[in-house]
Amino acid sequence: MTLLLQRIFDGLTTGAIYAAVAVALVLIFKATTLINFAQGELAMIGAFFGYVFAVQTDVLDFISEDDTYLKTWVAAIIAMIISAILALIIERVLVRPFDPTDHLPVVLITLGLFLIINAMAGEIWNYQAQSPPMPGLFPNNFDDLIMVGEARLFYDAMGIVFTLLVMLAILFFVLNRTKMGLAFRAVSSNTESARLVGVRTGRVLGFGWALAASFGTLGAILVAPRLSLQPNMMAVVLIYALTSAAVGGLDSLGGAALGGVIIGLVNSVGVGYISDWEPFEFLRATPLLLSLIALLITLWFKPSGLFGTKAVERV
Amino acid sequence: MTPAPPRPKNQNSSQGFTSLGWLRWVLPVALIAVPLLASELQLRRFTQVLVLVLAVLGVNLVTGYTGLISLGHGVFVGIGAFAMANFLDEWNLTFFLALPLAAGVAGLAGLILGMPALRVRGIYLALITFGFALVFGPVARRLGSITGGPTGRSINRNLDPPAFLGLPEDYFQHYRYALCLLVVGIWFWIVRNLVESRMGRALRSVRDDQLAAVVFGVNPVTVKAGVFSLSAAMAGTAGALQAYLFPFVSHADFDVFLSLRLYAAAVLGGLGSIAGAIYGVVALIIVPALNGLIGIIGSEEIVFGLGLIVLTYIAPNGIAGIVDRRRAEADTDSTTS
Repeated sequence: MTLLLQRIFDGLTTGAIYAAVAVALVLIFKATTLINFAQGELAMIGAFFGYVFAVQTDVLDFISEDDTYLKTWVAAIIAMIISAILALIIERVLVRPFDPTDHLPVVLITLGLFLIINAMAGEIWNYQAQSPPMPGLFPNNFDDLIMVGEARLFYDAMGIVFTLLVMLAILFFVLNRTKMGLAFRAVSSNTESARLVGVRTGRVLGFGWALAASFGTLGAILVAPRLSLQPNMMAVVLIYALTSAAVGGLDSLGGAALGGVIIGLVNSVGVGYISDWEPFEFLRATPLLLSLIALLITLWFKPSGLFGTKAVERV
Repeated sequence: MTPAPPRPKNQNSSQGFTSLGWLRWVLPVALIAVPLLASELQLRRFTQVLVLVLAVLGVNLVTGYTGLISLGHGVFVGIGAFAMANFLDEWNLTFFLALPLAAGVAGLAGLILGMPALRVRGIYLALITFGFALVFGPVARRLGSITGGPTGRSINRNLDPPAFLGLPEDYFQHYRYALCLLVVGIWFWIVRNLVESRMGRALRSVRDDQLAAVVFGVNPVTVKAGVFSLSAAMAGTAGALQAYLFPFVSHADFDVFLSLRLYAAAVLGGLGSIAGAIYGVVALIIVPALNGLIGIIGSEEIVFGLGLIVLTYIAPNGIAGIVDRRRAEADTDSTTS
């Protein structure tokens, strides 16, 4: 029982991280029907921006000498803004010139970006885990926890889940209550018609990319103290996030968040129990396999994911 | 909003797929001249490139001709290579039996992995195949008895040409080259006949409008699974030949980057054309080599990534689209919709 509870806590925490990146992917997919394979690397470089402000330079030292949490939070917000600007530039320069209905070239562009951003971060910061480590946004020492029965519930685990919920609430507010959000929904439902009624679709797509990048950056900063900050840290997160987004349905924001939680639970509860059974011990080394199977099962019964819109076609 | 099925633009006629353009003159000369002029090492490299073209053609068939994005064909190259190693070493089969069997195993794997994946469409398939590509390395690492585990396995079988041919040792590499050329040639012939047959028309109809294809009595799942399996068999053949040319296979050779490079080569070269597969492989080799020439940028990944982006910019229809502009223009006229 304790073990189960512990695994559920772990699953919810990692699931929240996957959900953050999955929501970023879905934001871009909704606007453009593209998968941004560089989403994880954008988030990673965003976390490095945060690292620069929180640790490597002292521009933020005026905030406070001893309250590192406040300083890290400010650094995180600055990093989110910078990566939003970076995403705006990428969208304008590299993505918009291409026909959005033709996936093949844009998949290549984002794969190229993936390689370039990863290698550039490696050149600048090298591929080792950064030291001193990225400070957490929440207390994350080994004794910052409360006991639930026998299971340990860490403060930063609660913080990660809570931050994600707040971000989701903000996102839903922006999309449903602001003019820009309305325009975004118009573009994602029908680009042509949106343009006809006077929505400046280019700007809206840029807005979607910027929103996605800052969302992903926050996810990366949240996960950085756990995975240790280094250029390859988001590769694993990205693939789980892609799986989560696909399970939830690529065009559903709530589905992506729920998909993240499902994949997080599959990963900790599912892999945890199945790999106890001798012939499946290898799952511990390749936990992605089980997530992939979960994805295949989902798509077998619901080809558009759990909450995705069904594809309707005309001859 | 739903993902529209990708519609590659420059291959509406089956003519386009098999026409080699100006390569029709260059290719035979190159294929004959290289073994005469190259050193043994160069000839082996050239043979490996030839084999790579086969794998890229497999991706080209599945992505260009059927509109299915596969980011995971490296998996089938790996399965073919491991199957070949086992058939030669453990089962003691001859090369001529092991090669078709290895291709068959890869094709079967393509069918099994493809069946659930092919129910989904467009970008979902790209995601699932990308997942396969990521999982394959770690899984192969764990299956030590087949794959040799973390260190990989070497093939200890004697793979020299049969003694009755009486070839002197200097020409062993030429024999391997001729053998690979023959196998690749057979595959090209199969693909050419396939795309110009009733099956080829069914493939194109599925790519262009799946619902319309269903109305005309084409079963899209059968067609897609068949072509996916066939292209997996091609990639598997490439892997098996790779293992034959260089008798050491390791999970590290079949990581996700192999799959991405195959996809990049297929798209950059020009989808839906045999010449495109050749151009794509040439680009794959030249772009990293540029790094050595320039030497400023430093990291090979940056050069490769920049190459992907720049090439996508200047050649959205692939290199084949630029090279054979007349064909490209004719096709744009017919695809304007």
